[in-house]
Amino acid sequence: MGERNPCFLPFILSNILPVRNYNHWQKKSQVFHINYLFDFCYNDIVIYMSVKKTIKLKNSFSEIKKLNDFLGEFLQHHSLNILNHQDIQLSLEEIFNNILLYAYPDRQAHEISFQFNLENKVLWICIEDDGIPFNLLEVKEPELTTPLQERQVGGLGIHLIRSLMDEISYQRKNNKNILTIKKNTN
Amino acid sequence: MQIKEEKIGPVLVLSVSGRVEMLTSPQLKENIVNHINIGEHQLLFDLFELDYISSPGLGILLYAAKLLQEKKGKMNLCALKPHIFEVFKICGFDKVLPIFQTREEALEAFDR
Repeated sequence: MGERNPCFLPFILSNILPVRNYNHWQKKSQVFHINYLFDFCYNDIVIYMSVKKTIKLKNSFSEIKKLNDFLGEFLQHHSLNILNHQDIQLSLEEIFNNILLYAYPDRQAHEISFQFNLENKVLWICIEDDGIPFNLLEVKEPELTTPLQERQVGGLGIHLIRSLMDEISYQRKNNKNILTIKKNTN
Repeated sequence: MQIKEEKIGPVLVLSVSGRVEMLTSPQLKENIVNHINIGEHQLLFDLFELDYISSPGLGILLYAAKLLQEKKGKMNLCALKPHIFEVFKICGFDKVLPIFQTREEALEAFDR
């Protein structure tokens, strides 16, 4: 498919369902939206896809490995940039740690979901937890320019998330914290 | 995460490799605090083989630097990979911690 051989077109199209706007196929740079785990370029025609995948984790620090493996496979499968991999991995770990440290004063078992949504090389990750309300956007930025003796040791995790992600939004809905982060992987 | 220890003159070199994260950072903290408590007050962190560090590990490095400053000691860092250096810069560490490109440069900067 990477060789851009037109012979592949009927095969590709017959294998991608549903394909909308089929008649517009020959229009150059026509954008198609297809919910299918697949993307490729053909001459000047680019097909953009939306891919959704979710992983659910228990509120245990040892679960971070599952999240890292899931992220690694997701990014590798979609040939996304390795530098972005480290930014996203670090942000996700910081978010996960923050939830585990502060969201559950009841010390009971809970579930945290991470929904990955890739659209046109832009990755959105929606993180949902049923912990106590917490909006990290309201957390004060740490002071980074003070001399060493005056610097606070904490507060770096949220600062890293804010710095490494392109967009962050928060809402409280149905007794859940819903944090959405966006990273452009181009 | 692994920590390799090596004494070069008065300087204790701690080569930290692998991943320093929530689960591994307590081991790093214990190692550093033990060394400081027995009088090792000139520490060099060689981070050439460090692949990943998140906020718990960063906090421990900052804590160690503050502790050594109180004891009139010194802490240098060297050989950070570019993506690790980027994380240090985001956290403002390049303004408060002496970071060197090579181990030799970092060793030269201690009082020997």
